[in-house]
Amino acid sequence: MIHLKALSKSFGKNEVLKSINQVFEPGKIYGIVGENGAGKTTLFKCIAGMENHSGEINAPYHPIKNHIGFLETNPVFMSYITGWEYLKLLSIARHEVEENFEEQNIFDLPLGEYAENYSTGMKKKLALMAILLQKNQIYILDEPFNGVDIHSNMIISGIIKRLRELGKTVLISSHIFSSLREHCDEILLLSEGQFTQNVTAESFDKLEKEMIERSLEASQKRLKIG
Amino acid sequence: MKFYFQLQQKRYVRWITSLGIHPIVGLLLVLAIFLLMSFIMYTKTDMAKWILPEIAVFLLFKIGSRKDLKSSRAIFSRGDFLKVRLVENLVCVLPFMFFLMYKGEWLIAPLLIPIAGVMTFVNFQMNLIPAIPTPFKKFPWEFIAGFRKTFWLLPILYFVIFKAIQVDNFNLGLVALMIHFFVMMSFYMEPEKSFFVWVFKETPQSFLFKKWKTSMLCALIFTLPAFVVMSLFFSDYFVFILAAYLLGFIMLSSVILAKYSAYPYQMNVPQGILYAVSLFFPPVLPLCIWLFYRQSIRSLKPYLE
Repeated sequence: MIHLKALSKSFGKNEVLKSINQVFEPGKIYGIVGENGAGKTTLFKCIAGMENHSGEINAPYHPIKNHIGFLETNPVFMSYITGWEYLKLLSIARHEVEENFEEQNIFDLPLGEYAENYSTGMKKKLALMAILLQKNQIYILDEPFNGVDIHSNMIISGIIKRLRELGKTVLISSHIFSSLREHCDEILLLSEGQFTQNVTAESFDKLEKEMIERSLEASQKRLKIG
Repeated sequence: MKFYFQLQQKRYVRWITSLGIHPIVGLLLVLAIFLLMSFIMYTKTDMAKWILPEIAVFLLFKIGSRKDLKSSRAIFSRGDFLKVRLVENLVCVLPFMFFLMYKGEWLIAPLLIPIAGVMTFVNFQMNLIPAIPTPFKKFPWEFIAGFRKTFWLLPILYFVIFKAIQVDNFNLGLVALMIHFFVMMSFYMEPEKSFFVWVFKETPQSFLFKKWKTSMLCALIFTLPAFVVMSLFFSDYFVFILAAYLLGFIMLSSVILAKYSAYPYQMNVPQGILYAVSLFFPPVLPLCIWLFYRQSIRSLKPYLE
């Protein structure tokens, strides 16, 4: 369980997260939605201990960061490192001794090639595979479905369901509403630095429509093509 | 194209200013270091006339393999891209050429111009190079990546050692052995993204210890052939070789600590000055190591605890 108590985060005068109180239970999947810049990634980074913040984050694991598998929106890779070596590095980092990565290569990635040269989707799959091999208790997946092909999306869906069965806590952010609806036990809307509502199945379609309309309206006001 | 070079100039100014140095002072400093090192090299070894062009070619390789070339290639037409590359390459080799001419190396110096021209057409982008196997497979990642970036230097260093043995020049061989350590130090110059520190299930102390242990083991593998050959052929100087070898390991250790003492930023002026002082006056090294260690613990705490 992760318990956020009055979690706040500011960048200068810009208060991105405003005193968030929330409990994330094990064996549940939480979807976090919100427009670009709403603070989803910042929230994830605060929970993971990658950003300083005020307020408390309580969990039965200490330090919590050692039990979190964090899939970044755009995972970064070092130059001249193959997929295999990346997996090895991230396994060593968490004291896992796994080496038979080929057997566990669920996405059929070319592990012998430089990871930096992978496509966007392949990078995401490699990063996901790495955090799965770490055997974490909490998974934070920032836009896991972005840039990934349909077949891999199905595999990721299966993985997320399996994580729930294993009693892991999973937080997902996504702009692909249908994916969230399919997987999540709870969907939370992050707006103006706070969770403004729990999105129910009934309100989900309405929310999706509202967000799309708002985005379109805003872009049409500003965009001058031609 | 003019705007591209103006941008490059702006980038340089921003970078050097971020280090707290005035751009003109920075330029003069680079020039002074270049001249000083070149003169020292000429006083120390007869091979300087070959080593300097090798350094120039190394720099051509470095600027030809940098990542932003990909975007330049996309922005410019093929002709303009090659012109840009040629100008960059010439700017890179001209100081070496002028210095070699000043030293009367009239045959070697002009060779740098056609080399710079040819290198314009060579694509060093890493996606064209297959993953090279390394002896460091078990220890990702600094040595794996570093070895792949610099493996081509090893035959050159082995050749220098071979020449040193052939002409019975111990100093030359020792320089080649020590260059191994400078090459390894370059593996630790860039700070990694915070994710790659954060992800470790370690305390700052154990993180540093594991980094150090891995580097020492890999450094041993990296330098052992040169050390063994030098010890065999210059056995009279074994004590000197061993002392220099151990100093190399200590220098490498201090670079790792210096890197993390500045983390998440790149090593800056204070670390550079402290490090330079310790290189010229090695007895200061233990003090440096202690200072860097303390600062590293402080710098790593936010990411690991």
